[in-house]
Amino acid sequence: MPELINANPTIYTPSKSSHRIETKDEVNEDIEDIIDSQEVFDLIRSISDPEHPLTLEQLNVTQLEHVTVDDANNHVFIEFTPTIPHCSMATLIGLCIRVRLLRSLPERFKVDISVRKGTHQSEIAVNKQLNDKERVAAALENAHLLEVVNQCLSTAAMRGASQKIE
Amino acid sequence: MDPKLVRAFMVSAEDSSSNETSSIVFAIFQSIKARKASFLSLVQALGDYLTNEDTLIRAKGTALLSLVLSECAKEQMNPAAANVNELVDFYCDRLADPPSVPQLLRGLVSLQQFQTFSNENAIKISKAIFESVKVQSLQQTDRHIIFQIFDGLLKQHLNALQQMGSEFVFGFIQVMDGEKDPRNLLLAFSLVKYIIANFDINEHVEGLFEVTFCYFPITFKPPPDDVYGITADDLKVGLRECFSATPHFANQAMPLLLEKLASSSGNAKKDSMETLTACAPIYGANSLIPYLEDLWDGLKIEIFHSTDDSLESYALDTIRSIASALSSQILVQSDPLEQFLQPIIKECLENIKEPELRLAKHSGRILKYCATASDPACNILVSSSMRVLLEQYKKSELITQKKAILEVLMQFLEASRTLYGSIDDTIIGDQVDQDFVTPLLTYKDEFFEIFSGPLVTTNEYNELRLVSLKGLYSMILIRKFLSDNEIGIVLQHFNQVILTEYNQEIKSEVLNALANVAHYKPNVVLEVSLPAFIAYLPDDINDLQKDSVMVVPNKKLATYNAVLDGLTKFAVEPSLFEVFADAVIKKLNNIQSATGAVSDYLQALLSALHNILIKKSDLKHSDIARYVDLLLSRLLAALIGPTLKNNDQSMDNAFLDLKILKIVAGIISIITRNLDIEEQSIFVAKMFKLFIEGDTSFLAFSEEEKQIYFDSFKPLSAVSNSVQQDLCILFAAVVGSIQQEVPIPVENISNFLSDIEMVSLSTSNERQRIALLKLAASIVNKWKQDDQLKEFVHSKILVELQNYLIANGQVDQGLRSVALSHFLWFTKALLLRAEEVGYECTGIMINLFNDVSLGRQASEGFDILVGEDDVLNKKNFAVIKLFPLLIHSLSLPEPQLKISTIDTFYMIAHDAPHIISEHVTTLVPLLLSLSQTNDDNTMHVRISALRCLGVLPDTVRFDILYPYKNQVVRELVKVLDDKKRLVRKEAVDCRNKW
Repeated sequence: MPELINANPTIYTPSKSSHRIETKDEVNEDIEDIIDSQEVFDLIRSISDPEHPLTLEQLNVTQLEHVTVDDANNHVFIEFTPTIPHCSMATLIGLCIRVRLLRSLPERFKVDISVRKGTHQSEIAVNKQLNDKERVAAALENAHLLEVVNQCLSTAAMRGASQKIE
Repeated sequence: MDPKLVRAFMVSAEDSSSNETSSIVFAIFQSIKARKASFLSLVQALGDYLTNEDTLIRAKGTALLSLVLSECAKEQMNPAAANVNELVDFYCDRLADPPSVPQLLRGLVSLQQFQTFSNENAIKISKAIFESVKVQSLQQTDRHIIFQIFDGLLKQHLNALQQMGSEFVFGFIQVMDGEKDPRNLLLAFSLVKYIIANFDINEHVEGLFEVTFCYFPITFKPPPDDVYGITADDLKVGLRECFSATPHFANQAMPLLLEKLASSSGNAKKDSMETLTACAPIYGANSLIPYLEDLWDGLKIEIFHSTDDSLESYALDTIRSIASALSSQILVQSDPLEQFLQPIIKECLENIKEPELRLAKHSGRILKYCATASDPACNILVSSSMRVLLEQYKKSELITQKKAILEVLMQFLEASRTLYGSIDDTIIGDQVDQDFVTPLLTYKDEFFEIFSGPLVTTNEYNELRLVSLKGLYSMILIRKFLSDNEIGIVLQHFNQVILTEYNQEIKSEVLNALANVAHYKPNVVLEVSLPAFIAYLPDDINDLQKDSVMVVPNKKLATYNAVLDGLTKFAVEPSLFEVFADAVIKKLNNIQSATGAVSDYLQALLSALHNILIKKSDLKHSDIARYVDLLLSRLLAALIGPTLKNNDQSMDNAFLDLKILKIVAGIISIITRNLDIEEQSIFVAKMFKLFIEGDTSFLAFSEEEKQIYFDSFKPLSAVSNSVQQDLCILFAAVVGSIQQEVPIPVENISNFLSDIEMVSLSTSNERQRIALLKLAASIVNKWKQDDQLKEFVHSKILVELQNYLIANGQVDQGLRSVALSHFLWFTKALLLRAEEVGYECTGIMINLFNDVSLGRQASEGFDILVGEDDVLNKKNFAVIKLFPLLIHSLSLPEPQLKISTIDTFYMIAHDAPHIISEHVTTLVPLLLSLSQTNDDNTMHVRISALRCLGVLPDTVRFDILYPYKNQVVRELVKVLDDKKRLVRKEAVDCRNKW
């Protein structure tokens, strides 16, 4: 068994209020719903951590407050927090978020993903990798890596519905 | 022989498979077959070509001869023995001419297939190949032909080759030497195994060893574009079978296998262990004795320190195989089995001293595998470790330690079950020797004590209790271990847990164990568990009120629901069910006159009966049929009786609750289905008498009941008491469950159906109507006389009933709607019979989609057509033809219709994905277009379409969907930007799935 980077992480219980309650407007044919930060957060909150059978939300890697969406100007900005400052999985986690949004958001959006300031010792390097199209594309050419990413994304559709992952 | 043909061949293009050459070959074959020409004349005609100085010409001439022979072999035309002899001689002589060898080999392969090919010929060919052919200089395909020749010769002419003896074995070794191609090796390995089995190989052990062990361990990896489908495993198995074919290999093989076991490659380790496992019994104790220490040292590393779990299991198998091989031979002086096992036991017991650490678990497993090796092995293990383990358990104070030791003891129980037989063995045959009993028998009382302890101690650590439960359960399962009395004591513990405890986890595990025990030991369960459970069921309304109040903590905690859940699990065996059913009937008698509050209890009792019957039916129990008399007449009396009291109170009777009616209908239909045709006929006749004529004589009311039940029974009337009308659901259940062969006991079926139709058109009781619709539909579905059915369909369904459906303003809308329901159910009945006219009816229904008042009902009716129903159901119902009709309805603008149609597809995708698979070409683009925003596609249409599209990757095979993947993923990009959030959500899920 290879050593885990962080063998014993802290688990957080998400607050109940973080779920959207369906409104009348949402079922009204004529009203347009803009894409907001809750919707984008829902897309990424249940991605699994590469090391633990826990979601990014449970590990506090992603938080609603750190997702900024500007629908009018087609911009999404996501900050995430690695569990420990030297976490070597940070790039992989970022990549998972990147791929999830690539597959799930309209093409008009520009998505920036970065490690939250001061939470990782090599944040500049990680950020650079995550926002470099070529490097992301190259990473996804790697069949093994893609498999790992798909594995992490297999739980993403839960959108925080249940905190238990099989 | 026409020399022109030969000449034409010689000048033809190189490619021997071209049309030109094959037609020449065929012409020559035909003339030989027709005896217009002979092989000799062909050889003569080829004359010079065969001796020409040009090697290519010689080879080509040979090719013609071989091709003609191959044609003969294909057509199973056997040339005369004399001809074969001549040809064999000719071919063998020519083998000395290397450029012609490939063509000659092809001829030889054909020659040896002839029935006229003799033993002498076989010897001649073998010798010639050994002498003249330099196998290693040939191409792979040619070498393959050589192996094919030997394969044929060995299978057909073994006797002759055995006469060659040593010479043949030696020759074959030479042929195989240096072979590298996996296709050839696979064949060669099987030949080596065959030779070892059939030849005296004493002189050639070394030679055979060298040409086979040089391939060990196999490291072959098939190329990515491999078309031959040979895997590394094929080769490994082939080679392993060579190694384990003879004990003669042992001396040389053992050091080599040990060496590879110590290598760093996981593949080599695994292959070594599997090979050792296979070889140990063949090589025998004597060959293993010198290596016992090395084997244990090598194998334990794989168990204690392996990074890969699969290696541990290979190592355990190997240890067992060795111990088993050592047991088969008890030597006089020092027992090698003791010699092998004692160090293992010593080391494992040492590890188990710290049972909460990782190594203890592995050690437990090692002991288990050793103990399953043989009876002597098990005895050695038990006698040298059991005392120690039991002492350790008693001394131990830590719960984790206790649990770990119990787990080790569990391993011994499991091992005993494997070795000495289990009560659930279907055949107690050769594997289990009846005379041997497990050495654990000596320790039975102690086991009993230490395993029972934690289970009955309610405040004990949960994990420990679970292990103790497993231990007790294992003890019950070991053949001839516990007596019935002792099993009874265990079951008392089980009862106590299930009936008086809070702890759900333990309760459900104990219940599972009890359910299994009930299967094997129904007599003990009948005596110990069943009465205890039944005693917990409330007898009457007073009891029931007590049931909900917990007076004393820890006592009588189980509610009737929990008790019934338990009974549902274990009261399945005939003897158990009989007692339970009897108990339920008694309780019914006690509470039947009560009202209101008991409804839930009644429901629970009847549901339990129903659920057990379903289980019994799945298990094909033959005792179900008995309950038509034992149970149904009683239930029907309980339901019908109260409706005959001519006062308003009958309305409140608990039995007349619709939920109860449905459960009873379920019970009736499952029992009916388990009757044979004759029994069904009798029952149906009674039921028709009851429901049509109101003849209640077989219901066996008591004298007292007869006094109050004086009203007449007219459930099929549109104007009778509505509680009586509700009972039609029971009638429909019976008719829906009979086989087609059972006669419907009415004079004229058409008239009967018309009567039913009249009632359903005029009744105001919706429950009665639905029951009658289903009743009529199932009669149509089972109608034996095709001509009568046709007549009915054309005059009644297509004319009378359809007249109601025509929107002309004259027919009342309510009536039209009822008529449509009838029409719908008839359509379903016809479709289930695969009648063409059913599709015509479906078309009529689709035409109604545009009808202002019936459109919605018609479109939703598709669910009824396609879905399963409790009365009309049949697996593999042919929805295929409905598909075009359904697809057509998607092009209509009505959104609600689209949604229900898409939902129907969704349902089909779940229940019958194979049908969807055949229509993906149409369906996928259609769903994609329905998911795009436009005026016709409301958000709910889009959501349904996306949900349906999204279920396909879960149910339809990947290779069928793959061609559409890019299109779907691309087109869904637009939908990701749908203006409605709920649509976007479905789009994201759907796209991510694809």
